Amino acid sequence: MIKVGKPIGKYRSSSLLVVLIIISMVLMVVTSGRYNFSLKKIGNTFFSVFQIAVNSTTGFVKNTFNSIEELRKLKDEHEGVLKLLESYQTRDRDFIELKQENLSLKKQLNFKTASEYRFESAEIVAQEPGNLFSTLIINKGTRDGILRNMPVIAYQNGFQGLVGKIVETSLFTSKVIPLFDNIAFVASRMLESRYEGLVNGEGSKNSYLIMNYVTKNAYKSLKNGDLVITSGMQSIYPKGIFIGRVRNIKIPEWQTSLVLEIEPVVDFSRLEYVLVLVGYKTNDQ
Amino acid sequence: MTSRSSFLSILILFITVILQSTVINQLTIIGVKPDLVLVLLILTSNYSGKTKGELMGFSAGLAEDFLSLSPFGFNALIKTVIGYLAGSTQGKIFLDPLLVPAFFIVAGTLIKAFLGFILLAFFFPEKLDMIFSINLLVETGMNILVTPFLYFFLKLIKILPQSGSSRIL
Repeated sequence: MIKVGKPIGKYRSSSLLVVLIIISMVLMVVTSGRYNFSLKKIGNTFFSVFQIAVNSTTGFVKNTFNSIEELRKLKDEHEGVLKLLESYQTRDRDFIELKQENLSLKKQLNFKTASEYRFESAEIVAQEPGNLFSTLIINKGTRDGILRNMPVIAYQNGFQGLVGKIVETSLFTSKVIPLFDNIAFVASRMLESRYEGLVNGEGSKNSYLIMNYVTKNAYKSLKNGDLVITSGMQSIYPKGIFIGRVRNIKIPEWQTSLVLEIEPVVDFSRLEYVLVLVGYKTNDQ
Repeated sequence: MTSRSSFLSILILFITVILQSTVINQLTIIGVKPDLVLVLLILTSNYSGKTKGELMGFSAGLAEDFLSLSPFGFNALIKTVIGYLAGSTQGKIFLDPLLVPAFFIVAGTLIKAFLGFILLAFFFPEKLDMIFSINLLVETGMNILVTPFLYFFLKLIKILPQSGSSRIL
């Protein structure tokens, strides 16, 4: 018995290693690119509860310590806001006039007057655990009507900027692939010159986005600071959402197109809340 | 390692996966964060052996895969191999608070990068440039920096033996 048991014991961990590697490989092959795999969804739902709990606890502690400083800031801001309010009241009157004028012009041009999208606001509760991939995990899931491939945007500095799209949903949370991930691609267009291209991330929230496939003929029409928007040429993103501003224009001799470095409109390092366009239907849904 | 310690190790690894996706995001340098799961796995596997090391690695990796955008099984495979390799040093190499773990962590981070490179070549070739970049250097440095703290934490909760007792084993 002992003589038989020893070699089995000796090779047990190596055999187990092979089995575990095979399981991992099979899982990867089976689920690669299929983010609605149910086992993963179950696990994601399970862990999302803890993620929300940890995020809420740390948020509470942080907020408690910051509250005194915030009160002082609030007082200063309050005084500033009162002054701003005065000027906005004047602008509001102008705005109503312009809105009416806009409405009548739209009617003449036969445009739709109301937004076709419905927004679901969400908080970012967690991010990718590792360094190779980029994921934002938001606290809204299938329970709130979130579906795969829904576009995600955010408001920052007065701009409605593109954040990314939903790639996976669980009951309470959803995973968003942000623009800066290098497997995220967005069909895009220059706001002024209307040249088209394809925006792609570089994998880090600190690096610029890259816009490829902009024809070299466009060089003279482009300048740093030009705004880039979604073109709407694919079904996932509606057109006209701001992506970023041109920061550098490269003309590689070996390519037939320009390479533009784009600074995203959304500052991902201080992104806390996002909006999911739940009313926007894509071909995938 | 007792079954209580094994259970505790897996529980700590699971909690660390959660922390890795939440709180640790505040501790980044050029967008890179330390891999606490890797460090804890190496430290505990060195003490608990190959079998427990690979099982802990597989469990922790799978937990990471649930939360990650990576192909399901990507982290499980990498952490299984690292758990196995770190576990195979049980009784042969003993940990001190600084130098030996630092060597282990450098080796572990490089093995992780190497395996990641091979797997990404099949699944996400777009990401290959990210592996052997400045990020790897920063991550290795951060992993080394957090190791002594995690080493003393594991000693404090008695997952790692008190000084000298590992030599007796």
